[in-house]
Amino acid sequence: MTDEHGDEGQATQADRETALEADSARVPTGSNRTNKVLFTAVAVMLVGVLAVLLLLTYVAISNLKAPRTAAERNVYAFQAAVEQNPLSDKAWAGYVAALIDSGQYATARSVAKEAEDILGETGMRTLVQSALLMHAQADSQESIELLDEVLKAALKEKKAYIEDLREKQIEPVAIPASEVIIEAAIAKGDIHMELEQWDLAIDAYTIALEEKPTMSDVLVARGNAHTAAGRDDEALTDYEEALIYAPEYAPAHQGIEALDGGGSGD
Amino acid sequence: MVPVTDQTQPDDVRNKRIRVILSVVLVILFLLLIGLSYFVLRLLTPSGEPDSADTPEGLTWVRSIYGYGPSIQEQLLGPNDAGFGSGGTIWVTDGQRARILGFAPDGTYTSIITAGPEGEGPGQLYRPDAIDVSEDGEIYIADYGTQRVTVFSEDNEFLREWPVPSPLEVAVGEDRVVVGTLYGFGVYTLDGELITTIGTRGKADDEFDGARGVVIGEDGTIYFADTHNKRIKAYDPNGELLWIYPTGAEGDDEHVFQLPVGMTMDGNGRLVVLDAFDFQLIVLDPEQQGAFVAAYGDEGTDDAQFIYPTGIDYDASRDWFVVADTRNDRAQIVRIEGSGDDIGAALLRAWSSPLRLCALPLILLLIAIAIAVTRSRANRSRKNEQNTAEDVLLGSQDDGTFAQNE
Repeated sequence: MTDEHGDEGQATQADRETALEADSARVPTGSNRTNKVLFTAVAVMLVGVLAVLLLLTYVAISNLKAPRTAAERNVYAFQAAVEQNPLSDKAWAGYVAALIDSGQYATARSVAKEAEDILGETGMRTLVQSALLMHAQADSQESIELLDEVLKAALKEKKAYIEDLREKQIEPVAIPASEVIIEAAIAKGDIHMELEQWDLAIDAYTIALEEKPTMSDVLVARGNAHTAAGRDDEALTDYEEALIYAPEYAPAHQGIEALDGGGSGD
Repeated sequence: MVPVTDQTQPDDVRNKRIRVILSVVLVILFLLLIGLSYFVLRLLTPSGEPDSADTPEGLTWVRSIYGYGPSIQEQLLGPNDAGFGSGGTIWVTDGQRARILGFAPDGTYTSIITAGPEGEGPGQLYRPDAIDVSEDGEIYIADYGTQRVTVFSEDNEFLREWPVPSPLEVAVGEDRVVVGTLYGFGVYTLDGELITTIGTRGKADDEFDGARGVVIGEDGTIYFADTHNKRIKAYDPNGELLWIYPTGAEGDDEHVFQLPVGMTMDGNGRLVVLDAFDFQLIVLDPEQQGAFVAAYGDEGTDDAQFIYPTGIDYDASRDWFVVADTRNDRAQIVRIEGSGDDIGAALLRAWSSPLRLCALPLILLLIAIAIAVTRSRANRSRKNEQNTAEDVLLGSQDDGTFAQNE
């Protein structure tokens, strides 16, 4: 019986080993399983990338060109203005300003460069915006230096204009205000305010007000600088003068209220 | 167990190499996906969005709609009114160009209502100033230039029209159309048959001086912005005057309107009135005879500010308002506090954002993770069964008693 059973046991053992090998062949090893998971993950990632590419195509096709904010609209409007009148310093300046407002600094830089190439020395308003761009990108000192150059050039130009009139023995009723001087001076004043350089801000705003004394917003800005510098009397004078030209101007009223409420403490 | 042979060693090396390659590819694709998603996000996020510090308190800016392209001709010009259509479509009047433009809730341009050249012929528009959309999607347009109310389908199909003298505003209810005029208002069937007219021009309580705002309440009460008389009035469905706000009584702390124009009703049943000269949304409580609740908005050209806003409508499914910000040549989508929040509206609002497009890759990734986890568990379970079978077999082999003892 033993031999018979022994023969039967060996046959059964062989069958079992065969079955085990077949099972092992069907069940993947750990390494194979990992590869399959990885392969699945790669396939999913590929689908994801394709989906994003499709989204990009959809977004490009849809009316992304339509402005979605006031800043974007201004960019388009001034872009069109520049295309219609490429020699307009005002249009280029507006374009650069709109790009700065919308945070597109790199594009603003390249547009400013393009304007400089086209306009040359006549592009002073665009240079003012270039200076503001520098300040937006944390180059305040360079910005102020550029504005000083613009102011110097603009004042020189105005002086030459007045002398030319005198040589021709023309006494004009009034000398027109220089928009370049006003814009450059206000920009300089605003930068000094941000840097908390109150006296320099006051000087800059004063240059602008010498060109055009009726600007209520600049009077208030100078008043705010006086308040910050501790000169309440001068601040009050500026706020009250601002209200002469614009009686409902809220920032002027707010400035006076702030002085009544304590002001700078002096 | 599979016996380790020389043949399995090259297989292991090959598997390991494949694993490394797949891992590297996976990392590269992941980084590429992140980069592309960031790029899409940058594209979808408009530059110059107002931040919370610039937004008036209590008012949330969602988006501005300027038109369908970059040129002046493709943008709105002094839109006077706006209304919500089916699926949240935003219809905005572009009166000076004799057309109505339609936009999806995410701000993309979808369609146009126009009858061709301006003129007096049937279905032609001249100066479409006011708009409302019925429940079944018909667009009712009050055209001051043609002195008519003209009805279009949302597919730009002319349906019908009828004459109305000096129409300023239109509101559509379940079974009636109320048209505000210079002199009062007219009530019509949906087909334009006149039911009644009420009011004459003047300053008395039962008179009007320009009804530029009209709202039909759920109970049939009709509310009017009596514009140049600077007051809000309520009438019952039979045309009887219910109340006037402000009453003008001395000593009362009532809100003073500068120029009430367009109005609507929010999800909480409050009247929301635009004051064009105050540049604000004024909220009134009709249950308290129009008592003042709150005011939201500031004057300005930045997004979230208004200059002479004249038309407004409310989308209950998304809990937001569209304001025809006339002088700024745009329509703005805004929300105000207490207008009827619920989770459903919030979800629908989120789905209305262009950023919903970025959800697809994320959904695919979640599905892939779910599949991977399920397969991993299935494999683990199969391995456990195999190990159990092996243990049984190994145990009988070592012992050797089973076969021998038989």
